[in-house]
Amino acid sequence: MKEKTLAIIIITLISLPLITHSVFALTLERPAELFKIDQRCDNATTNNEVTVGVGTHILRYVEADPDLSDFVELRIVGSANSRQILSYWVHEDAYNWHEQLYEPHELYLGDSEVCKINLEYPVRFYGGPGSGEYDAIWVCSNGWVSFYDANQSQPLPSSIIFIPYEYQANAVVAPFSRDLKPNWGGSIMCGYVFHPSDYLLNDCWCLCVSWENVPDKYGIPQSFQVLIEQQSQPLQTLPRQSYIWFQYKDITLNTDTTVGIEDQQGAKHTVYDYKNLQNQTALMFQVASTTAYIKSITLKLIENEDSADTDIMPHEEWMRGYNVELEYQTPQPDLTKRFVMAMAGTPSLCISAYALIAGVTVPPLVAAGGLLLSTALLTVNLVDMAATSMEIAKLIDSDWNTYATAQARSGDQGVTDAWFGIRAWWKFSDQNNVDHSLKIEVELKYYKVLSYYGDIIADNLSCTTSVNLKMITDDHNNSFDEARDSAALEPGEYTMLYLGSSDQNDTFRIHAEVGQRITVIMRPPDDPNLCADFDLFLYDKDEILRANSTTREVGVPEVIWYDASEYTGDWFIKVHWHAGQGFYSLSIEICFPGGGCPTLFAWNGSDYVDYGVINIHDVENDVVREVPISTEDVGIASYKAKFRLREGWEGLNYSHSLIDQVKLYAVNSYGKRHLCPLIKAEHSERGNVLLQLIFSDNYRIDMYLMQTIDLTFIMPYPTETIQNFTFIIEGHNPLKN
Amino acid sequence: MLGKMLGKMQTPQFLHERKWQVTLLLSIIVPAGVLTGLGLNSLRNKPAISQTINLNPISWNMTRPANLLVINKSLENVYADETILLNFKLFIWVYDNDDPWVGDLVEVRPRLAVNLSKGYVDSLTIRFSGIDTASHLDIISGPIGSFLWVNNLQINAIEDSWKTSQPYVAATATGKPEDCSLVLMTYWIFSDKNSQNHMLTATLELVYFDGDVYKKVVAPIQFGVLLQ
Repeated sequence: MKEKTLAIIIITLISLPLITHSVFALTLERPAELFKIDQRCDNATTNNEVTVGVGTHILRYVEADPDLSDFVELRIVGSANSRQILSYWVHEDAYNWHEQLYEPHELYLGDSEVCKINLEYPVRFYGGPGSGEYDAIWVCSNGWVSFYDANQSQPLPSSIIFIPYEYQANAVVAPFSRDLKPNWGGSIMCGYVFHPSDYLLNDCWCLCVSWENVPDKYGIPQSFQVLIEQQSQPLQTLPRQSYIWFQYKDITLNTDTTVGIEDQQGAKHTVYDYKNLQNQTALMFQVASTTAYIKSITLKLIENEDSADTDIMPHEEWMRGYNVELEYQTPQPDLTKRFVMAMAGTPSLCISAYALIAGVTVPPLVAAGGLLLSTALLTVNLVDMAATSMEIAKLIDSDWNTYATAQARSGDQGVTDAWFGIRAWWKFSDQNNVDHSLKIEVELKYYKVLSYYGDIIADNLSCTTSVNLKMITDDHNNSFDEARDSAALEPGEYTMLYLGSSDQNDTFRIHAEVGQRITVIMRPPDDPNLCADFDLFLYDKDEILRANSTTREVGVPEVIWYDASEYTGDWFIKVHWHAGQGFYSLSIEICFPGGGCPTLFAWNGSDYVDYGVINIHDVENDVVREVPISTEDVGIASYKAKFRLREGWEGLNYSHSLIDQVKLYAVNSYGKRHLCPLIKAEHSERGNVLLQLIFSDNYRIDMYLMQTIDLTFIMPYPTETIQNFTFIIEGHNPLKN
Repeated sequence: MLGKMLGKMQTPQFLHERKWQVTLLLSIIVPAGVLTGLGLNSLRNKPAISQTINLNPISWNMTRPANLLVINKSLENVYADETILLNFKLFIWVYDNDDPWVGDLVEVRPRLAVNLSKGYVDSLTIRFSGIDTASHLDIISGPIGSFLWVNNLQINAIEDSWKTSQPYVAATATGKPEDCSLVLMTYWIFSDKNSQNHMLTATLELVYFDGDVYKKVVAPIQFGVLLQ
């Protein structure tokens, strides 16, 4: 029971990232020279019938093109799937235990083992024509099966499957998921049967996996079967999903057991309360009555500015698609039977393994078992890979400036997954003195049919998602004078600010009161290819240098702090280019030093790396702060990472913060956050404070001057996929002196 | 009434008698007319060239960069005499590495400007040769004004290396102009990982009428992207 409780807590915590936001707006400073921006902006939405995603890759900025002036090159992908509408329901059916199987063979599985079984005919499970179709399954000794995917490693032989559960195994059919011990006795048989059902006119030809007298961990024998319909006719002509039955001959309810099915992302599921199971009964899983198919995907570029324009790259090489009509009537690749990936949360795309051939590598997150799948952030990345082997899309409509439409391919029952990608140019005719914005919208058109007959019941339905891009001018902060005329920056975090050889200075005005400490952290781009070395300066109102940081190292943050004891008024922060180029971020804190605040340290395996003071000053209310953490600064040992909070710093007389919650997210290469559960929190004076820090509530822990809290977080698997971390703290420092 | 009148009309007897002869005559005249027309048209498109002026090739190589880089290099092959001023350029604009869809690429823009003091421009062809199996030349054939700029020219064909091993762009002059210009956008795409040299030759063949005869100028430009 203890194990189950812990598991539920962990699952709850891990489920939280599912509701994290997707980046759907991006504001960046317009560079002054050629620059590979390489930023992404994505969004996805679902109406619970279909899902549509937009992925925008801001590829590069080109300055002063002799034919085009300034422009940004964009890759835009619209992805769509109609599997969200799929919903299985479970009901009781006639019990017909199968003692005799056709082509029977025993699986000889040991404790917690899996084996692969090839199916005689393909099966469709949470899929549509050409997707979510399988010709093999994994059978686990612990009472469940998972649909086999060629690009995924075999599922972990979990002793009990939790449904829903984002992590593997996914695409699961669990008739009786419990810790079973076939090595203690009984047998697991596999074969084929004709299975009668009260709900069908004819018997169904089914794969049958039968656990017969297999003991559970208490030594009590359990007998049950799972039957999966085998359709001999081509699935292309079948609008519905394959039927599934569970049969229970002799089972006991003495311990927790999972009964149900779960889709490929661990998002959609149908479960049955095992406590209601009875011997000599059967359950049938079948899909609800309505299915949806894709008609078209339209990509729209929406802007209304005199000094900006858009062009869709008309050349066919730059328009790619999957499951859409093609420019040349070459046959689509055979994409059947394999499910590789889909977007978790608001699933946006499902595509076959065969789309990923031609030397491209399946992303490790996917190969890991369909667990760490991102939201639409994956869209562009996936299409990048797939596009190398995919066909050229045919436009059915376009005006080359503002929209392009691709139609779902015809010729079979329907399309449930499709994407359409284009190149576009966002052109500017001003002299980098006007801010620009662009809305990129993807519209999915679809229709609904009756699952069992294929009759259209609703047509021309649509679902739309969009992202907004903003490119702001650098025109206001190149000098002290310009900074004086611009609005003062408030303390906070500012990102996507550009410096390069053609834009060498950014100057910002801030306001500080006498006695306040000004702390500024400038983080240059850490991509070593950009060779970015920027310097940081603080000037007073008379433009006299008061503090500076000029570390001559590429990609290293510069930090300055200064106690503004001279006057209340304007101060100037200046970031100066020294080498390289790229976007940097600026973190500005202005507070009274007497109040202190926690300082964050990351343990890199041999030392603590100082991430600076986290400003949580507020008289009474908690504030939430995020701190990006580099993976290089986090030493992971046994899937654990350690951090330390220290209140205030040496030289202060007094400092007091109240910490309510700390969280750590691992961010994968697609930008998806995954919560790393906090498992240990050791206060230097008060010992274990884990409970105070797990939840966002009114249960806080006090930290006084130089007190520390050592934090230990569990890392997601596999750790190699982590690109960086985000540390989040919720609490406040009431500014006591 | 009219029908009755028509019904009463008789076909002249001589036509009946010579029907096979008429048919024979038509079967000769019609195809001959068509062929003659085509031939004349062909003659108009392919005037008899009295002189071909072969310019020496202009050549330039660069080392393949490792990152996004502005090249901003113009390779010019210029010809001038008392009648014509021709400026054919390959403008090497930007090199980009690891484009997510196609790999490494370099933007190459053929540019042409022609001015005649007398006569007119007839037609032109830009042929691209030397493209190896690890590279493609993508000629953007989009709307004029966005990805393709022409003056006094009508584009007749754009065939890039996805369609033919000998990519080319063909255009005819409109309205017998004394001047014309053209800017093309092309991407020279490399599928290798900087493991081989690549050479591209763009050859302009311009046909013009100098007031007396038709002449052709052949202007090659060679551009190489070599191993680091």
